[in-house]
Amino acid sequence: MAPTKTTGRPPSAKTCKQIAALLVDYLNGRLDPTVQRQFKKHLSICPDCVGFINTYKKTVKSTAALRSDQLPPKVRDNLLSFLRDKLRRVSAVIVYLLSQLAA
Amino acid sequence: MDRNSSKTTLNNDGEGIMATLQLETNRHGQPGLLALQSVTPKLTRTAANKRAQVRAQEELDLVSRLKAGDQTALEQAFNLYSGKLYNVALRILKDQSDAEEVLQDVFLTAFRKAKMFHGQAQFSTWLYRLAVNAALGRIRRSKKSQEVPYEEFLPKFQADGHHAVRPVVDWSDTLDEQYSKSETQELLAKALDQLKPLDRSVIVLSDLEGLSDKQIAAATGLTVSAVKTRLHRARLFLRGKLAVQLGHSAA
Repeated sequence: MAPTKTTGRPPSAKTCKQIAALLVDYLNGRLDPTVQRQFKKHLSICPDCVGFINTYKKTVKSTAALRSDQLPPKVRDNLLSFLRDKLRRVSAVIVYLLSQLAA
Repeated sequence: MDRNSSKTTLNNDGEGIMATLQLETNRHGQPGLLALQSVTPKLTRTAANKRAQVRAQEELDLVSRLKAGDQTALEQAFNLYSGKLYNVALRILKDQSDAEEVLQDVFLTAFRKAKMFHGQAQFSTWLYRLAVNAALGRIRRSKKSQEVPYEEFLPKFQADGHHAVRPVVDWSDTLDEQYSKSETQELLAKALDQLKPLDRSVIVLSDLEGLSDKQIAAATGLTVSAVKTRLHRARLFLRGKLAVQLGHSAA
């Protein structure tokens, strides 16, 4: 657990709530050095925050595993024929307009 | 973690807190994120930077060909990005045929409006923006959404800033013992579906696609600060869902 005002928490010390609010920057490696020191100091005395951060990280890591860049072959075929068809029409219009200009 | 131990450690797959803090590059080789892999050796980083430069140059060439109306460039863009964009759209929309229609929009717009791309962001970020806008627009029009209130699954704190429920149980190791990877993925996929569409978009771009906060801001039109707030709440919600599933308090 973290020190509190009643137990003499220094003004610069972070509470658990403040530590939790830093987690996006923490995982991005973007904490400034002073805050990073306060962050580490808090963790050294607060097993609750360690548990909280470990489970937060585990969640982020497990979510990352949902990533996929697979395109089902059928969807790929549909999309390519849609795009080719659209582009053929565009080309046909351009050829027509050019022929009109030339005439 | 051993609760009887006087020493407090982070069990981030064997890496220490400093290793996490020192990382500069993300999971998928783009600048900005994160932290769950081992530290990249310097030489590898240089090679990665070179690869990134080559990719950036290829992207510029592709964009100029698209602007010139080169149709083969569109097919090349399709081959490069369609898989990622389809899965982003699918995660946001949860419907295959909707996701397919979003991709039709994205690539037609990319071809017709390539001249509107001025290189202020990466081309891929612009494509993500087209996809997210198209997907969110569809959700707004359909008014279909199964989002749930987050509050029940968010951590709670006392007035003095301590965790409201203590001890906070560290279930980061027990998750894999109790659930297979595919079960966890299924749980998380369901939880993702319950997020607000914009929050879902942010977490998909961040934690699945590996975009930096700045890139996500460019892709969603949010400020960087709003991206971080939404990302954090979305992660907390998913964490709470997993905690409750394991029989622990979300707090």
